[in-house]
Amino acid sequence: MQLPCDVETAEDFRRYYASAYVGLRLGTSHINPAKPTGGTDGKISFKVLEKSPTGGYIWTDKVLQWKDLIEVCSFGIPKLGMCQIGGELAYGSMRGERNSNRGFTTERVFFTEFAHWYLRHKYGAGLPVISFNQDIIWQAYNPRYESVAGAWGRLQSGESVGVPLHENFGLYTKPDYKYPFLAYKKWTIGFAPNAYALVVGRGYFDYMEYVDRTLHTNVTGQ
Amino acid sequence: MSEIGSLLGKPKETKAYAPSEKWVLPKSLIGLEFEYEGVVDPPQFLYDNPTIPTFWKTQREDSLKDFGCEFVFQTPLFGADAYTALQTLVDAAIKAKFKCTLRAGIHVHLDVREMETSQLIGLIILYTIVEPLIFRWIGANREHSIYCVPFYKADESLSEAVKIVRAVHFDESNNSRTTFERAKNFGRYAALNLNALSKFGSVEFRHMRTNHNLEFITDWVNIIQSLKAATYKLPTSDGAILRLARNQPANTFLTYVFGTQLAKKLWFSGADDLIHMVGIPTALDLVLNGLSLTDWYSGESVSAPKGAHQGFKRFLDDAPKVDEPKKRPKMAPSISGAYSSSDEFEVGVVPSTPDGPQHHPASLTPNQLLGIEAQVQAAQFFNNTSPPDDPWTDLPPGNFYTVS
Repeated sequence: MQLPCDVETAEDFRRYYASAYVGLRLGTSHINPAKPTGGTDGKISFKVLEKSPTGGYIWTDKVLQWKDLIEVCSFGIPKLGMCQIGGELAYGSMRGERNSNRGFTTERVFFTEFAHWYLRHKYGAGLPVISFNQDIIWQAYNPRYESVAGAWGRLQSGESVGVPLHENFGLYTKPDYKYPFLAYKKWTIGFAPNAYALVVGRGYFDYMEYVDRTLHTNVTGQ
Repeated sequence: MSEIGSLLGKPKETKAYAPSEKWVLPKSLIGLEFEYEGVVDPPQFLYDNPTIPTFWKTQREDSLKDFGCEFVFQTPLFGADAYTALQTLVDAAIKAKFKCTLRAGIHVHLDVREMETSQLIGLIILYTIVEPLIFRWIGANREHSIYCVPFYKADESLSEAVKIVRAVHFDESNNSRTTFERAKNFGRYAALNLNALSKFGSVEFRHMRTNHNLEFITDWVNIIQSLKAATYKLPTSDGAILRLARNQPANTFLTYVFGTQLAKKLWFSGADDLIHMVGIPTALDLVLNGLSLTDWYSGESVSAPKGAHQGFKRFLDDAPKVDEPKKRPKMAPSISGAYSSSDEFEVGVVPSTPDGPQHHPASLTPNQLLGIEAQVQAAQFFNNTSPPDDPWTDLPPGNFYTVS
């Protein structure tokens, strides 16, 4: 989704978006996160985050005229929601506090990690979420969601322990439980007994209609 | 013959102190703030008209550019005075060519001092249900503005609203003043700013971009006042408000809350989807998380079968060898505001239901009795009301107004 322009001039853009990311639609398949680095008059220079064909990310330089930027830029602050961090599921929520500048930065996001200690086990104790900064920034502009069946398969194969299904939903596993749990925002509200069904815990029946309409999967109450 | 006031240098009273049918609540106090840019030196004619200095004060506003200035009501106004003040400022601002830019907004304060706690909570829930429709109607991309962030986008603002709601409950039971402190800490750039509770005893609606369309602004104030009016006729139980919204078509629900004229302006063909997929889930977060007097997780909720998850084992087996983690921490290390709630959300715990008996003490106040009466009236309304005969027109928001 391309968020609309919320500044009036190139000068304002450089001022309000310093030290933060915007999204640039430079190709057709994805949006590139880009950090403004300066420029003069109507020109703005960027460091653009690209996916490397060999894995990981690379930075490239790009200069855009203000009038061209308006066409390709996603301004404002995108909502992160459910994302995958190092194979795990996390929910990134935002605050309605005053920001002196605009654009996306991970510093303004509060992360709820599901089953986080396993991530620590895999990557080492004390590893901060922010170590996956580029992954998170990429997902803020290019969210990737799986169907329940697809997520179930990925979890079963051991490829990951958490998979986003929607900006507010995800599935994650725990070692001592047979089936993946259904996460809604910061909370665990149910589980998936197979690839085509969801069970919602009895305290969360009110969400069943929303789960059903969002995830298009057979939903029952416990 | 001179008037005594002019002889004494005491201008006569310009306020009418009269209710006005222009408003849904003709006697309800409101506060208005208009932000403008390009107010280099307010022209003399602003002050030649006695209405402006009587009703409005000006102050420089740092969040604006280009000589940003804010016009604020001297005191809260109601009825005819509120309308006169609004009309006079809009006329003067057009004449003075003040700039309505992207950064400038109109903020409306709704007086909630006389409301009971259940009504204030009802107001917040009702607002949350219709918030996405309000943003659509307001237009001008305000949904994406950093000056008026919706609850459905800023979960942390919603969490703060939850804390205020809990504090209201707590204060009611304990005769304390924690609500004031909670409200003081509320991030005031949420579209529904509850921080104003601590400052003025009001809630502030920050949604609208500054414009000079009197009908548009009047409708906005009336939409806000309709929310307040509805809390007096809606059932007092939060769960019941949600059920009303859930079980009715959007046009019927909107008509009940806002009246036919305003409801038609808020409604569009996707209104049901916006209410059910955005408004109600967000309000549910508020209700289940905030309105239960006990904690969200206080009993068994999700009982998932125990057993080894093979995929999880494979994931760990593929992991590079690292030191065994020490005892599982209660909370993850604090990383620039990040926190982990996995332990808090351990399975086997349950929220209490929002309609629990704790919301209905044995002795009912007159207001609660009014609530019961309202429930009966609501049932009658919805039972007797068939969908409107005339087809509702699906127009984009701007079609109702010419916004300058």
